[in-house]
Amino acid sequence: MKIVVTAQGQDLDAMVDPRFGRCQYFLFIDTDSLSCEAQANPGREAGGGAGIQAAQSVVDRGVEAVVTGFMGPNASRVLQASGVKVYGNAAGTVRGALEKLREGKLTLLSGPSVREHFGLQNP
Amino acid sequence: MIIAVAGVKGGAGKTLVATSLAITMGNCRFLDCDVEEPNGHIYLRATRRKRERVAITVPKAKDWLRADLLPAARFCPYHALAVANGSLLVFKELCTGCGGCFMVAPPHSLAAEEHVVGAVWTGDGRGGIEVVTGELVVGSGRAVRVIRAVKGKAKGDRHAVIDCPPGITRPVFEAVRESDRCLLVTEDSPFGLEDLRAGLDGLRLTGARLGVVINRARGPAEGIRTLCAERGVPVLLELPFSREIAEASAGGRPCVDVSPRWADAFSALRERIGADAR
Repeated sequence: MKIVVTAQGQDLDAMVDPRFGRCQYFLFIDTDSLSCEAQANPGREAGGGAGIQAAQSVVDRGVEAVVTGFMGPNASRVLQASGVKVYGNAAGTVRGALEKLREGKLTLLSGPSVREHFGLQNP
Repeated sequence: MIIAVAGVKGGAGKTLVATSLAITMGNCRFLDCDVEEPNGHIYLRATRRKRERVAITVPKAKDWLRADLLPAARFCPYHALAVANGSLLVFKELCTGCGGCFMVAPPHSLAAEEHVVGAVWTGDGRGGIEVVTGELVVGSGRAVRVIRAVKGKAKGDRHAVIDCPPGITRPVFEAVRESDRCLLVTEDSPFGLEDLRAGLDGLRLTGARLGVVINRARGPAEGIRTLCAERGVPVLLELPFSREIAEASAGGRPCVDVSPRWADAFSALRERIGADAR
């Protein structure tokens, strides 16, 4: 399965970035081969609409699922409309989050888990 | 003559000065551009005659066309658009109504929709003052649009007094632009001094002739006077720290009604500005 994890670094040993729209990196990961490609989040420095820009960049890569800490309302709307599954409450290393995903211990979100501007207020 | 009353520090007395100056001038137009919390109409005892909506044009997809709108979404500098599963998502609260997406999208692939961001009230206040009040929809970021609509009501037939929002942000420049005079109201405090410094340096760029009003003066206000002398900006009026003025303001009464002393002070201000009665 092709997924994306929000991360503070560029490899599987990096910590999960709890913010979605303003995370530092997106790690595009194939959960079978554990191949990993890092991409800087284009929404990180956005003046506004960071979640929308970030979500669009993820959707354009054609992933099946997003693993992150928290998800705001605008990013959630884009991802839901695109049919991308969102798993929240991830923490610790990316490798650990993948393990929890495999064990079914991450929360499948059906909507936003935080209010707008969460990522700005929790840098 | 158009006189903008601005000031960086909130609660320094912009509305107090703007309303009392308008009453002193009489038969003028009062443009309340403090659109997040307009309250000048209270001091001017204005009726509300007419309400007009202020709206921006936002895009709406014609989904049946299956047009490629991804370039338009990528273009949007405000990230107000996204394309999900071939459908356009519009985040109206982020859209500024710039119209860029209509130019980038394939011809006729977007419909135009109105998105209301505020309203402009027109009414009559005491002393023949026409009161124009801008109201921004709570939570909207389109203050500049509402301010522009308010200023569109100013015509050359009367003097105008503009009550500006606090700060030196983009909406303040919209409120002050094309004014002949800009009064900066400051309070006699360290905060007031620093904010005045920022205000003088910023609003100088508008080209309006600047003047300073010191409010709540507790002494000689030396710091403010030194700053004004350095910048070559005159202090046009000084109001003391006064319980009776504060009580009147809290009760919705303008400063000029408190005592003849303040009515005279505002008459002197009007003369210094050079806005003769019309």
